[in-house]
Amino acid sequence: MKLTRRDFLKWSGGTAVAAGVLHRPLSSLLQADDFSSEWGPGTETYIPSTCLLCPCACGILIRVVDGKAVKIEGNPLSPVNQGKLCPKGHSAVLELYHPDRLKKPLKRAGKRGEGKWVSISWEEAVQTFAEKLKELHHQKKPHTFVFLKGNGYGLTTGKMIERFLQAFGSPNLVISPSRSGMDGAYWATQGVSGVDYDFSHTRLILSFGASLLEGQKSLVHFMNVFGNSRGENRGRMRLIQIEPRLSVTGAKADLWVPIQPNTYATFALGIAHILIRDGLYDKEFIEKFTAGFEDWIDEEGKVREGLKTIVLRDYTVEHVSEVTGVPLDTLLQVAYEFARTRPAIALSDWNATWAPDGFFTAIVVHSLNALVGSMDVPGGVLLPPSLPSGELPPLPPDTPTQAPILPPEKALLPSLPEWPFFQNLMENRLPYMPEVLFLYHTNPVYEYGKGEKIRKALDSIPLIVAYTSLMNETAEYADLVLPEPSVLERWEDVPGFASGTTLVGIAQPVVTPLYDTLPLGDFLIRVAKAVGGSLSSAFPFENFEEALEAQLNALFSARRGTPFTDPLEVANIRSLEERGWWTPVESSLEDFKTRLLEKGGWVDPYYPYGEPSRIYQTPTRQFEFFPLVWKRLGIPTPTGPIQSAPSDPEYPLFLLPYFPLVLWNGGGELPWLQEVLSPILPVNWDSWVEINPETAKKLGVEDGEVVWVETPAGRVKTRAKVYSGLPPDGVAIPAGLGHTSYGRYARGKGIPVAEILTQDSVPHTFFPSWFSTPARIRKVRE
Amino acid sequence: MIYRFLLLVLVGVIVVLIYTGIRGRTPPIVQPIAYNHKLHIDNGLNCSDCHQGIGTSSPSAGRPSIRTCSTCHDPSSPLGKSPEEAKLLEFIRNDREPPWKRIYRVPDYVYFSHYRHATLGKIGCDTCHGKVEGLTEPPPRPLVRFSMDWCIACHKKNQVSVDCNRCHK
Amino acid sequence: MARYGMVIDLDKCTGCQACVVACKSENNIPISTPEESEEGRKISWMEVIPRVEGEYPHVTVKFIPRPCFHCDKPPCTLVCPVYATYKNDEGFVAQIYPRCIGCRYCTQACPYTVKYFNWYKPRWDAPLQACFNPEVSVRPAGVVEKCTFCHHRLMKAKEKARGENREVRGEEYQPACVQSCPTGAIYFGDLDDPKSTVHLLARDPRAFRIMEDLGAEPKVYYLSEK
Repeated sequence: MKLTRRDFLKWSGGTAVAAGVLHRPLSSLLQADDFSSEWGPGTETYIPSTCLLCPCACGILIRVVDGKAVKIEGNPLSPVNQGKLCPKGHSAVLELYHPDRLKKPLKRAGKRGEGKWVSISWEEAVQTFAEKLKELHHQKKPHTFVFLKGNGYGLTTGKMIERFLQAFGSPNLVISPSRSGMDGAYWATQGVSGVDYDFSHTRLILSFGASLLEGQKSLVHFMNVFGNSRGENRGRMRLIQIEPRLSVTGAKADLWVPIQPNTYATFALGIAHILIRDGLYDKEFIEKFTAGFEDWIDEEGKVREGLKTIVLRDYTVEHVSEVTGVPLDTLLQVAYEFARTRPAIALSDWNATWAPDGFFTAIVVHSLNALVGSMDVPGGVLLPPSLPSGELPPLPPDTPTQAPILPPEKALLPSLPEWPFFQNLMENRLPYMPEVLFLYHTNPVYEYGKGEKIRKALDSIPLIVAYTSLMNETAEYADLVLPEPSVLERWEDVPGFASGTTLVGIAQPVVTPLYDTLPLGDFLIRVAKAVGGSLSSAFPFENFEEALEAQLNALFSARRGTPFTDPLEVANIRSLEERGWWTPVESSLEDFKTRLLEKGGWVDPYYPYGEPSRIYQTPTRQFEFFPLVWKRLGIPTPTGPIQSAPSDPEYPLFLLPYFPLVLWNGGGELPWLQEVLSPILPVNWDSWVEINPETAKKLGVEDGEVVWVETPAGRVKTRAKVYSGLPPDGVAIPAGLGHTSYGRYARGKGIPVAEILTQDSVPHTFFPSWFSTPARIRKVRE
Repeated sequence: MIYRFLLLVLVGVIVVLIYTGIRGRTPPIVQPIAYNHKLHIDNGLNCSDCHQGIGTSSPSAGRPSIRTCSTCHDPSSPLGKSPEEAKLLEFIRNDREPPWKRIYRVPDYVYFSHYRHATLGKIGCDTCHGKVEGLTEPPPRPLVRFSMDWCIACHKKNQVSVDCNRCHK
Repeated sequence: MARYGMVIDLDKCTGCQACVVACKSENNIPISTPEESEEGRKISWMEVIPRVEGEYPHVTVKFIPRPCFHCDKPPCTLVCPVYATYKNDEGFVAQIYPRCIGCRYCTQACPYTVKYFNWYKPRWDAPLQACFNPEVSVRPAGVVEKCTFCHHRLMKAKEKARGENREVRGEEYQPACVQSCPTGAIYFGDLDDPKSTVHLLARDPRAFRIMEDLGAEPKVYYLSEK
């Protein structure tokens, strides 16, 4: 590889250094700026905790000097990240010391959204909220209390939210959309709500657009594995990335397969076709553990077509190659490699499943794992074993339950999805109106790009409470804004899973809280006490720490696992547990808890293979292929390939939004991350639209030029970046930018791509359908 | 000629005045408590009993926290009648650190390690801090003024590295 | 004496920029504003440089993390008129801020553009300065700065080793970027120690140095298949 100094100059901003004058006022010569610290006691410690900035549950060590959190490093004992850390984890100190953090509870003073607030005490905040709940209780409409939960990762906090709603009598826990996007497939085919993958032991990963190296719930763990399969260990694990736009994952894959947008399902079925046609599938596994493969006769005596018949008839290689735009030999190469490498994993994420046929895509991609028998085997698809759970007093049995707030559709997942909630709210189609809306780690006004409409719809809700550490677009419209302690100031227990190893990371306060904040768990306990009655008796805790302690006690008495310890010891415990033994490392509960906090978490390296009743919880107790799922859900079996590329001559381009690593699950509020937005294109503090060089040339658009990106949903102005990793008929815009609130570092930086997406709900899974928007580029000045 | 000489003298006087004026303008440092080093030393304490970084691997000698003070000073039973102790006990009672002011300070761009100098190098505290143990009240200014030349002289004398990068950070 | 150097495996690097952010955190690198960044005045001691080659669909992207190469024959030190940048006896290319007069000859002389001029007075939105690393100074406006291989970490490691009457152990001293790298793409150690990983990797068939023909003898090696 040849690099010139010019390359460096181009990328490192050295050009600016070449120009300019000596800029050094005399005063700076005489008086250096003094940033040396105050005279402190000179103490320095490393405190273990768990990162809460994404769902990975990475173990972290915080370097605390004289009471200040100075730096974050990875905890070498954590099986998730093994001492390593992503850029976001390092930035948790900025989240702690963010200059715009909320310092006290705020109560709305002016009109909604006017931005006038008065500071109130926590006492008043608890009272205000409790009074409203009491009122709902007396009016016999507790179900109008709707709780919106985003990505808070605390196990105990999550349980307390559920418990609070149950004890109060509301069925309305609404969950913001998962970016894994595969949940629907797991639920439909296996009857379970979340599976994981054994990245450490797999030999091949067939990724249908999954952001394996940019954003997923095992990111740092996967990066560890990736590093171990490259360089001196090349060939240990191969990665095949199928996607239209060359992402970072695609760039680092062994093979990148460019494909037409939204044809993932067809491609997956093309692979299934080859596996079945050539008899390369795992016949034993199919026979023993799956249903819906062969044709069957249903209860009405009608012959139903199974996967085999449909795939062999409708997804011939020529046809699949034509639809997906993937050359025949590439299709065959991928299929044969997938068939002949064991163990292998096929997976996908929101890049493929937040699309009109996303549910189908998710199911057929996941089904490839069953075809090659990669279920519940080392290096395949695993189901994290359940965690020991703390004993809580039973809830009163007479808790009234009303129907959930979403219209009775064939809700597939056990939780209520957030996007249709807002769609129905905006269109005034909810069966009843919420009286109280509680927002925790969710910011729908920004997230769905329908700011004005959602705000207007919120008008009809009497009380809106937002729990957040930074003011955000939705909180601006709330009546009560309650400040949450930062990641480094609060207790949480975070479940994690890394290639067969189950763990609970402990997050603990490492500095004295800077402001008058309160963890959500404490707030709920205080409100429960103020409301009284059954709600109060459901929370027999003085504070959140007590509730957490009950959970830690459960880990001790579970008679499995150990507090984090060195890998050798963990391996030892695994081999003991495999033989059905377990010896406690700590003799007493107190010792156990001390070690837990000293080491940063609890780990159980044993994975119970061979428990099909745990893995398959569908009605047939087997892995169900899509024809059976379709019948069960009453969806007509698709005839012929499903394909959904838009063909609108007005909008000839296909819009591909994506999350760069640092913006996945938020990150725009942290300045270090704003400075490193994209590793491929050197833009920071701003958005951009990626255009293929050919297309740019045709449109007369130059690199860096500001252009309009127009879609049927609206238009935004941003700068064009020419990127040859994009297909000629595609444009890509990074998501996660363009806030109008959320602190000074996020506000006004870039544009929110969600505003120009035509997002319907994905049928059955109710994710916002992000990948169905046609677009065009227009020059600002013709 | 004589005028020129007088002018020179005048300029000299002005320079001296400005110089001393600038010197005079650095205000004396007043500590929140008029701590008596001598009294504590006389009562058998060593520097490292309170500056607990000394003798450890910490680069800082350590500013004593009230936790250290309260091993001897108990708010419920004062050791003496000194109004200064009363001030300390008030801080201890309120669990608040006295806002001690720093007297000896190296510039921000210098890495200075007490561990390296005091513990490993076995250099006495008074080399850099002067005879603090004889003070009955806190010094308003450093007893020893250090400059880089002063550091280098010692480094050269003891044949320690004078590489810029060893101390400049 | 140890000759510290780095080997970066480009086949492992995924461009996540953990090294960049770890460096910012460790070394009190000032936060740029959008305007400063636009003018190319953002400071980034460690920088990931992308290289996109080819046309769709035959495109490759490579990420090249670039710290200071701490050259054995550094071109930058030759031009410094005030001895503010020089190669010290440990082989580090040092940058002494109080000596620096801000002439930027060294930024011009460095073929790898690792040197950054401080255009602005250091400023942090309070209370962000609470997370300063006390072992690294905050640079005033008008001086040139660059990656130090986290030299302060070596100072601490040496101190510790001396206290225990031994030499610095290999794993004891690692720059922040090396420590953070999630794929383990960055190796660090004594290039002269035949038992060290970097010594072996620097002799790997995949190893090369950037613009080797200039003769600067950089102590940062890269590994790449192609």
